[in-house]
Amino acid sequence: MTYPQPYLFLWLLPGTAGPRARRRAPPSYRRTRIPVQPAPPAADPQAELLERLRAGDEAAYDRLVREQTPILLRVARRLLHSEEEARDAVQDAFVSAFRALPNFRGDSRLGTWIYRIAVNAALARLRARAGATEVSLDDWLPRFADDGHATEPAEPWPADAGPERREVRDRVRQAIDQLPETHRTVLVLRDIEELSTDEAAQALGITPGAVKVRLHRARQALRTLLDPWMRGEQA
Amino acid sequence: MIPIPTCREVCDFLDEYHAGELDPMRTAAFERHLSMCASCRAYVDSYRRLIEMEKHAFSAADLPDPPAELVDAILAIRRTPQ
Repeated sequence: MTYPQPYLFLWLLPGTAGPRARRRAPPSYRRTRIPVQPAPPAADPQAELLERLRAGDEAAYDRLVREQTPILLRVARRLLHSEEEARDAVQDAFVSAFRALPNFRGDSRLGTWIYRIAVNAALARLRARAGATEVSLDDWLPRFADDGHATEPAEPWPADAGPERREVRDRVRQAIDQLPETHRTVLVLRDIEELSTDEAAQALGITPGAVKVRLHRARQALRTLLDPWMRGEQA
Repeated sequence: MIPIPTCREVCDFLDEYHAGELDPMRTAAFERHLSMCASCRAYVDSYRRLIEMEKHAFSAADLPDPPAELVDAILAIRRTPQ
């Protein structure tokens, strides 16, 4: 899993230079015989935190909840579109995590593990919602003639759309909100939360092939929804 | 040699092309189509930019401060004997 962005930066911490950095070391370093000091045992912040959590250290729980809540709340909000339900899902996730903590083997990072629990908690709430009628995507998909040519040729988007502009970001979010739930969820998990196809499939209980199909259709529909604005407003 | 795909086929396989999952022969045929079709070039470019726009729309800057009442509620649950 490529995971919530904060974890990516762990690779940038001091002392994590990879083999490439070592290869770049000048040869003179290799020839110089300097007595090697034994490295102190590397502190593993996760192992330490885990140990404290298992010992029931309140300060450790406080730290865990304060650090993880913003990340979990963000993904829950993106999936659920309801502040109240997002908060409930985060609460559900922590309750599940507290119960499961004694069995957590540390195969993944603690934050990643809780993140997965939160995604599942949010998806469970989505599934529990009364079955709202889904709109069809078909009207937003490209159309083709019998010979395979596009019936409405695409026109280029202006080069200076400025994806970081607030107005563009708002428009994109509004368009994503128009997608039917089954497709919006896949788009959020794959493109925004950056889960792999297999991870999204597992979370949603569908096949990887179904994830791919839904993602492609969701992107095509989103493109159709944004196209008039992109060409008109930006021109 | 793989025949040049139609616009419909380009659209069908666009996600795999974008993800770099098409084999070299299909990629070459796909790109031959793009070199001849302005509409598909525009579509492929907008599809790629759309994904970039999605990521910007939900950037890391949106990370909220943890609501104090939620944090307190979670910690209170934790302290409650099960």
